[in-house]
Amino acid sequence: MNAAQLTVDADLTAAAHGAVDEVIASLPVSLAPARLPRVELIALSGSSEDWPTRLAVVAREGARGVTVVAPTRPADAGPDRIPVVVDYEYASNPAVPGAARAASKIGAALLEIRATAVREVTERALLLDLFALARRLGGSPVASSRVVLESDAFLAIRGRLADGRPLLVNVSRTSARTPGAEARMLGADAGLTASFPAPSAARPARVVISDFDGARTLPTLYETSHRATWRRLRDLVHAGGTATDLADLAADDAALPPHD
Amino acid sequence: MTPTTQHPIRVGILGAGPVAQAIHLPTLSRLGEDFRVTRVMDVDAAVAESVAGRVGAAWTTDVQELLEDPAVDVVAVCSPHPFHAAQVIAAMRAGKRAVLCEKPFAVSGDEAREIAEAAAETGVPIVVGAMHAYDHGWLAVSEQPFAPTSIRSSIVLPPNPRFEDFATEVLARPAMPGRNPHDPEVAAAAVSGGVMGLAIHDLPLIREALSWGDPDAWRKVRVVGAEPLAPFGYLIHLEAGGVPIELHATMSENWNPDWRLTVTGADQEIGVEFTPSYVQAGSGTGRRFASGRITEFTPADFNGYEGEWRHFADIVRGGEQRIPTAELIDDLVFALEIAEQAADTARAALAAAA
Repeated sequence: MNAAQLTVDADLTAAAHGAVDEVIASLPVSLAPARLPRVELIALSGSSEDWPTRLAVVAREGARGVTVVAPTRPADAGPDRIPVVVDYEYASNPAVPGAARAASKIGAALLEIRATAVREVTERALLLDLFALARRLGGSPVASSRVVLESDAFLAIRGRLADGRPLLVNVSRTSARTPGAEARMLGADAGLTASFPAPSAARPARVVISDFDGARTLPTLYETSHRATWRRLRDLVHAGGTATDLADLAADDAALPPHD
Repeated sequence: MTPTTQHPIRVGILGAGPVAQAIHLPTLSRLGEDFRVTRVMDVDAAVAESVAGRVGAAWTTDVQELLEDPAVDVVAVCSPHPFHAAQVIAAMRAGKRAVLCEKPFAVSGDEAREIAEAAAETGVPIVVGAMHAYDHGWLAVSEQPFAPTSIRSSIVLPPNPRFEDFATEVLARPAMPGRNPHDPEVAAAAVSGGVMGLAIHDLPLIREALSWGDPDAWRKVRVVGAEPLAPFGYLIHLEAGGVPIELHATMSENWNPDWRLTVTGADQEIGVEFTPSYVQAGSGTGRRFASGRITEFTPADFNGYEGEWRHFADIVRGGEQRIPTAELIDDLVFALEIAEQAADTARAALAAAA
């Protein structure tokens, strides 16, 4: 074990949903499975109701960084001295930052995000993921939203980013296609389309920008959202930095449409 | 289609604006064995003469003169929307063999009923120029119906002149009026016009897909959201018989067109990526996602406009009208209902925000 290597532990659900073993195997110099008592990085399942409490505990016990996998609710507060990052299926895709840089030059009038999901997916986790994707791609958090259409198989949300731009989020539940999310930003003379496959197979996102010069595909990145999340956490830990993920998560949660 | 050993069908065109110039004349030029344009009418004499001159036809500024011309077998109505119904009825009553009318072929339910009565009385077949209903991509994917759980029509286009200029050299292009997007009446007109001018390309297909799950679903339309999109477009959410539907269109200076219709079901999905209007770029490409397979249908070498004219030739020569007139009326009623509800919704939303 080298000095820079960080040890990782995960609860069972986080390990499964966040593919933690695969991530460790693909970052063998940076990460290693934890052997008590040395546990530096922790993965918590965000689908657990008590994950904020457990976060406080692991921080108190000396964790150097935490990944929260697919949260379904925000934390009221988080540790302020260690980085806590959120592992989203789509918003954590490594292609998102490049797409966001390109999108910032488009001046898009409308941001659309459409997801294909299987019926079993937890809706709240998916919506928080899609709102995070909207925030990261649009460079502005979602300020408000409302459900305009809803059925067992379809959900349409009309929202607005904090900078005033309109947002459209759709979720279609079908087994016809593999799960994934697509984003489109349409500007006055340019546009961006991006497809983000679910991370199970590490299929790369495809990001295409079209402007007056033609259309350009951004370089493909064959890395899962999970691995990109852990690289980010690793870098934050080594740099002594923190993250705004929990505050962003709380803001996204507050912007979700009212529900019964 | 029927092999052509007969004389070409003689076509009279009512309204010689960009649609006739950039869509129908270039299409008919590809079907020279089947059709010959013999008369062109436009209220602008210079336009009528010039457009007629391109195809060696006679010209007039008078509708009746064209309808009474014995050298005109069939009529193509390409005039502005408000004139469609009256001209379709007049052509039927003038004893023409068939009428092709640009969509929409009426702008009210009353007009639709008058057309239905005239059609029943005269027996003259009608084809409405809803080119996507004749597009090979749609015909391929719609062969295996299933109950839809959601439907989406998304149209992203540059302004029409980009494509018109590939198809022809347009004379007398109408100017686009300036608009105040904050005026509720302007918003209402924008979404209503968007439905009748753009969404209407796909609404007959959507109505057909709805019928796969429930034949009466299209009669139970409820628009729940409608707004204009800048610089030109609309975003409309509705449901019909419990099936959510999204209609979206934007027209901007972005050159990259993206016109798709998607019908999703519990375990299958079909979609068509259509070629833009005006240009000759073949048919749309249809795809079916089902049972772990993606099936892509080879596009045809001709687009939906040519498809509708080919079908028109079949009808004139005794073939069966693929879309009966009663269905065309229902298509129109469906579109008008959505346009009206969308206008009311957009107007109310903007008035409430003011």
